Amino acid sequence: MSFGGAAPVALVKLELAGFRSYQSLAWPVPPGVTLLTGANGAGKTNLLEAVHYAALLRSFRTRNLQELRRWDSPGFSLVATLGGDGLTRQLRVTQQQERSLQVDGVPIIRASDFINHFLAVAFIPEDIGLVKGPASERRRFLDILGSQLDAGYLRALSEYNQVLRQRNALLRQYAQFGDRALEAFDQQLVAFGAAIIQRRLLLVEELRPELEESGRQFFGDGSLLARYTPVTGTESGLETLTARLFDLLVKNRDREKRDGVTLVGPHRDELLLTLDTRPLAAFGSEGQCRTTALALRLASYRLLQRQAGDQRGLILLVDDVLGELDAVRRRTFLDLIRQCPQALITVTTADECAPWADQVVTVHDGAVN
Amino acid sequence: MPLPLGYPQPLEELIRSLRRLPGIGARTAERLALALLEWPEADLQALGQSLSTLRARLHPCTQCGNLADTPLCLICANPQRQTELICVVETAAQIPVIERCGSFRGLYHVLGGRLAPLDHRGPEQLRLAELHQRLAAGNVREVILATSSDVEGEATAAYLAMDLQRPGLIISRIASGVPVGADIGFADPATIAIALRARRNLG
Ligand SMILES: Nc1ncnc2c1ncn2[C@@H]1O[C@H](COP(=O)(O)OP(=O)(O)O)[C@@H](O)[C@H]1O
Ligand SMILES: [Mg+2]
Ligand SMILES: [Zn+2]
Repeated sequence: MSFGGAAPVALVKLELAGFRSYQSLAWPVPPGVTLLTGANGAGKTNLLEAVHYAALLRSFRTRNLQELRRWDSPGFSLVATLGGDGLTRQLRVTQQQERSLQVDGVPIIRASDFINHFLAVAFIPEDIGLVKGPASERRRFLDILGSQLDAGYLRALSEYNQVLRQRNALLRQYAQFGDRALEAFDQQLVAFGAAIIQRRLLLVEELRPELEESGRQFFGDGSLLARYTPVTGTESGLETLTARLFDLLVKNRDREKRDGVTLVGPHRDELLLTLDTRPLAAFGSEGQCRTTALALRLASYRLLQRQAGDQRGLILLVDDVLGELDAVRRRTFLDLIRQCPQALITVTTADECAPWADQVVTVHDGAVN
Repeated sequence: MPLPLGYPQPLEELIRSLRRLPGIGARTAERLALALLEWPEADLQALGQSLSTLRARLHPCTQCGNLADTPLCLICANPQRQTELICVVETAAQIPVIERCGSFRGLYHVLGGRLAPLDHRGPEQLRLAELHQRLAAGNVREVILATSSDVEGEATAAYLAMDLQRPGLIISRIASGVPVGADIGFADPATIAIALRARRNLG
């Protein structure tokens, strides 16, 4: 793959020590589309996971940090080097008893100041949960995408989650705290809650044309739609949202005191996915749900590419997804990502997909060749 | 974590204690301990004395809850301070931060914490009865809420704004300037001076 003019920002090197199956690895990550081949258990997914972790400080397959550390190692370290466009930047994560983060050698205290220096979107088989799983998976999808596009989204979200935890704890001990203390937390719950609802509404609006397009490409003429349905209704003025959310809190006060939990707010909202107006979670076939998950991810990838990809670098990670698609959709997918500036795609055999790739590498014995 | 250095017990104990201080890592603790070893005996005795009597010689100011070794703290005992102005803080450690900016001439009130249901800290755990008593005495014109600007600090301020309300009393909140999410203990004097001047009225 060749670039006209300055190269866009991309991941140029990945160094791992004690990460998953890797004792020590320094891999110059190529630009363009790279196929990763190798036997089952060779460590292909582990590589993609490391890239994802460097971008987001979260794995796409576990919430348990301990799993990332190589079994015989006390911790792990991971260095991702970004380059292109006259820039190099080094992101370093060291996980021992504690995690320490550095950007270009400067210690970073807060995870929120470390993540999203570059952007990663992962396509994984578990993505079907985006369609078939509980609403929390769809909210997480929106929240991660929103945070990648806008650091303010992440701030609002973490403040909201903190108010929510405190308020739920208060509701559980309501007798000791009383109404006035509850009201003191309501103000912030409503303020941050409305801010998140507003941002999600805007985000889904921005995602709509991308989703329509990828829906069309995968389903032919079917109409794939995502609609965010907050408890407040979808009128997007911040004042209206705030007022509605507050009214709903007041209305639910007695139930909340009885149940000991906050019942309304963006932590309960749904992103409704429909194909030809029918809710997919209930009516979608297995194949339709898989394809929808793929279309959602692709839409989010395109939105990121349009809004932020050039400046920060955007890498596409595709793990074991191709094998689950029928031949036609696999072709469609490969055609669609062919032009992307950087992609890592795991496959068991490369032959069939090789024509779409800029290079094929083999993962074997803790090394990449 | 065990120290693999093989210092004799007395030194190792000292290093271990020093390490518990904020900003002191293993190596710094080691250097400090070895430096103490060089001190004249009398100075070491004096330091030991300071440490062992620290708690016993300090108590909360009977009026505001600030640290004191007399019934009233130095601020409350100072006749130059404006008694009609009370600045409410979470802990006594926040008072020197505000004092350093030099622009506040009123008195303080230490809450002794903030609302944090996750830690089982509610209104009952705050020094609110004492504050109400001070307000009931009638001399106070304005209360400034200088709790932190994170979730718990803001909730505490919101609670106080409701709880302290009484006719004729102005209740204000130190306004932005203190970075959002920041602990007031880390804000610099200039920031706090701006924040105090720009405080907004909640009453
Ligand atoms: N924490 C760990 N420490 C050491 N090895 C691990 C760890 N986690 C996974 N592995 C090993 O990594 C291999 C799986 O790697 P993976 O990337 O999932 O393979 P694949 O190439 O099939 O995607 C397995 O052999 C497993 O034993
Ligand atoms: Mg795999
Ligand atoms: Zn005092």
